[in-house]
Amino acid sequence: MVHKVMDSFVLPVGLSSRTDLMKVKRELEDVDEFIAASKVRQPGQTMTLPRSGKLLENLAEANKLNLLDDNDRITLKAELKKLVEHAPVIHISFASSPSGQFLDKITGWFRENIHSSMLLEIGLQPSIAAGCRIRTNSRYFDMSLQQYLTDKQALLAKELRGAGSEY
Amino acid sequence: MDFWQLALITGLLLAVLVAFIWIGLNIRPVKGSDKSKHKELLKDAEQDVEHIFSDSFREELRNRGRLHFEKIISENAMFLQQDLRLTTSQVNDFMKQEISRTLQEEFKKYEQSIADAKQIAVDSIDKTREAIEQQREILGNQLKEELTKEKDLYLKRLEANMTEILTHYIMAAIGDQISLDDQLEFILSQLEANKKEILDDIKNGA
Repeated sequence: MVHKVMDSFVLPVGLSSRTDLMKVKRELEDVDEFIAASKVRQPGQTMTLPRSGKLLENLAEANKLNLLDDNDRITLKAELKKLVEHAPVIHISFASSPSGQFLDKITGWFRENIHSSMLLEIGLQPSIAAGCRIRTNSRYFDMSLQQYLTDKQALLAKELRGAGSEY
Repeated sequence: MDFWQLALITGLLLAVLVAFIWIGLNIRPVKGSDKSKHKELLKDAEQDVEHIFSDSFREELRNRGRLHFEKIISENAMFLQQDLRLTTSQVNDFMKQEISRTLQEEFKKYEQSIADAKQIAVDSIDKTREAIEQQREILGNQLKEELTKEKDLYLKRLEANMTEILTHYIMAAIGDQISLDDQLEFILSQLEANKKEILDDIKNGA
């Protein structure tokens, strides 16, 4: 059984967080165990099928891997291990829980513009009101509406003074 | 009694008096026979006097004197009464004049005092009004300054906390109408604006 070296491992946008990654990894291990167990199964022995989510299937499909193939499973396991150890993680907070479609778009942007294996940790900060706040290993980016208004404060103050002088 | 009657009576009395005096001067100490003559003369003189100045004559003289005296008294009393009335009238007039003059002088003084007091009161009121106007102006200016300071303070506070206020207001006003999906374009634009910094940070971190 041979581990294939993949030039570019594709993460589907549905697999956005480290939690998703760990989940897929566990599912793959379950599939692996099932197939190994099925090889040594005694006739008539019942076996429980592992539960695999869409994420694992999408991951395998996106990378043209066959979950039933041992080599592909090994390759997939290795890539997942690499991702677990080395994939960059960025924390992003929103005012409310994002929908799946929204998250897919954000994840897609990060993977397209920042890193192809970028993982997101989603947080909630209702005080943000609108926009988001991003925290990396060493920096903090405030992209909320409050910060946007703060950046435009001089303009707003000017308009306010102009309106106040009329009274 | 007329004047001539009075003069007549007076003349008679004087004559009698002279006669007695002459007799008295010419009476010498007489001897026994002289003394008796003297006594007879005296007795005769007394009889003559008694004959002239009889009781009725004396009574008449008394009555005439009494009447004259009463007349004089009455006339004097009448004169006195007239003088008294005149004097009383003059005193009354004088008193009236003096009292009127004094009262007028006092009333004039009183009116002057009232006028002075009124003027003082008016001056005091004017001064008070001026002071109040000045105070009002000062207070008005102070109030304007305070209001301006307060306004500037509130504006500064507003400017310092504007973003929080606006954010809070926006969220309170339309927070439940803005979904995360509606913010996607804004978030993506913000990500684009900060893409280079994020990329550099991830690369440096990797």
